[in-house]
Amino acid sequence: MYVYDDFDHAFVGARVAQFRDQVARRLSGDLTEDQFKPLRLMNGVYLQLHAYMLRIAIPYGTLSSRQMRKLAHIGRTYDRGFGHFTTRQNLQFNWPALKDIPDILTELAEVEMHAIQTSGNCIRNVTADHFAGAAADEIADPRPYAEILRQWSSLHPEFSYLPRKFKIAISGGAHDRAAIRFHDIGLQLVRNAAGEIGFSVYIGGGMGRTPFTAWHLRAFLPESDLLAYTESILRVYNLYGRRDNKYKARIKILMHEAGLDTVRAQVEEEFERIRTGVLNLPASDIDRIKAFFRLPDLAEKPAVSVAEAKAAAQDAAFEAWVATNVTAHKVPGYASVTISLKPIGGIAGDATSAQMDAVADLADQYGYGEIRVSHVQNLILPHVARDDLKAVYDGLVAAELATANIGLITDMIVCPGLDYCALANARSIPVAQRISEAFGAQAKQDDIGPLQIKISGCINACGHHHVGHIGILGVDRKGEELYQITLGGAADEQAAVGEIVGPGFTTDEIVGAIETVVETYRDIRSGPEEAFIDTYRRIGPKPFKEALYGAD
Amino acid sequence: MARPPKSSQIITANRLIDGRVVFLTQDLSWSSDLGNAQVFPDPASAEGGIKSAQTSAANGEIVDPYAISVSLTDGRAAPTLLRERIRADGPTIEAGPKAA
Ligand code: SF4
Repeated sequence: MYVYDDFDHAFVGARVAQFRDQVARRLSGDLTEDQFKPLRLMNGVYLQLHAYMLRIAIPYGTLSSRQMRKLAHIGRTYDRGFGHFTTRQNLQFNWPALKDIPDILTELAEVEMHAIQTSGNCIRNVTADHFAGAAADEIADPRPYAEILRQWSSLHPEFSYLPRKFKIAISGGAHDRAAIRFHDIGLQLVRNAAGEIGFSVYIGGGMGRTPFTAWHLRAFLPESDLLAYTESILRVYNLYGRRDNKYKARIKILMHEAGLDTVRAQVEEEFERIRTGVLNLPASDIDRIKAFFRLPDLAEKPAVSVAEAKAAAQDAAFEAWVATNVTAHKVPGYASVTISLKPIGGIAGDATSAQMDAVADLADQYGYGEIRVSHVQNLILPHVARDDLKAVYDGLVAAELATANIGLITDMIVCPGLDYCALANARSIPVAQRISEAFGAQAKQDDIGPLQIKISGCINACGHHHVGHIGILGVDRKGEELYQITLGGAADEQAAVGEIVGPGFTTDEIVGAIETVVETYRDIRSGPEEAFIDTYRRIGPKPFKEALYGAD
Repeated sequence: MARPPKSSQIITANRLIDGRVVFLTQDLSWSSDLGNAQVFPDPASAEGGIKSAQTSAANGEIVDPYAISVSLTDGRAAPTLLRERIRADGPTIEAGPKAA
């Protein structure tokens, strides 16, 4: 993975020293809250309902075992012994004291991590496919490009005060595991007819109050033009993006109001002007960054592992876990292991310090020290020999991390909601816990098959409810929590915003309503092999509406 | 529509140093225990509390003070809004590792 050079170390170190001084001045009274608030936000420090929250960037979701151990240590030393992995491949600590945050940032800098640009109207942590570098279906590893974008966008003076926050995601290939069509810029690695690598560029996707699937801006962008073209998009947005209304300030609104052709013409004009300038990326620079992300030396192995087959024959739980949590690797004999952070009845995305340490140990022992964080709030060991799967599984069982539910109904995305978040209208976590309990039996989940539920505690949609096959949005109705159901959303290459089925449900009703939706699906699917989303696309919302609200 | 009856109020804020939820007490200090909160009979009288809270904010003791409505049962105050009940009592879910 990427290794900081002297410049990076000095840059992050200087930033920590600066913030340490700012915190000291705040605590001594030299800075008022009005003066301090923008400074703390620039360093990822929010004030939530019960405490400060520190949001730490995990660039493109890649973590080393050493970094994971540091996060575990910080959780144990400065927080309550746990952390929360988010949909933006960040980690949030929910209980740090302001006085301790400079020390936390110093500790993070030791392992080349920081919280810069995890808040504010700037370019946020660039996210990527969590199987990057390992996926059998990728054109190229998206992370070198994400790293190039990270370096370019870090404290970029022109883009530090954009109309609104700006999010970029990159997918390594056609199958989109990074939700690129719901980002301000989505990049998909492609090959042109000549076999050259480049990007298909999407723009203006987003969730929140006004969800849009992205517009397709450009079919092929040569890799050498990545920065010049991105800078051109940002310039057009910076100029024309609305600053008069916070709710209309994202680039999606500019796209909606100005139209694709106008924006494209502006972007292309700026691009032509700057493409041969300093932002042009020579192949040597790209290769230098790519070298940091080289695949570990994976010794050749037979595609089918005898050890795995033997273990599966003896242990049905292991076999079930392999079926759901293990993904094909580009190198035969290897696999990517997804570690579910969705224990039945637990809190999505939470991991204790002990669990973080356990994952780090397994990564060192069996996975070349590499860990990934997915936007679905799970962890991944990207390179594991199939021969070692049983040992990894046993380690996960011991750490209470072996839930076999990836892609199934209990593998939900859940935002913190009203239990933590100052912006929330309703709680998300307890609703998710009850749904998880209701559907947690393995046979039941397996029978239902692939189904993504996503829950947000307010319209900001951090829980991606718009793109859930079943989405749940918490709203406030005269002081009462109410939950609105949407159906048919999807975050992948068949991107769609879910449709609201009807009036919301109370806390007491919502789990029953989800059960009704699932039962309806099971009744009308063409067979067990037809997934929920396919049934929905085939038949539409009508039977679900009738089941929920009666025929009209 | 009839105006809702004027409800009792307490003053809440977050402590600067660690962000914890606190309430303004009788002796104009801050307590993390809702039971120690000074109860003002109505929004108008809570104004005085807000003033003293703003002094605490200026002194760097607390951040963002504001008044919230409470209902009184046997002299004990309970915030009217769910958000404020959660702030007072903590998350409604386990807010720490499962295994201690
Ligand atoms: S969706 Fe709303 S409630 Fe949930 S984390 Fe985002 S802002 Fe908070």
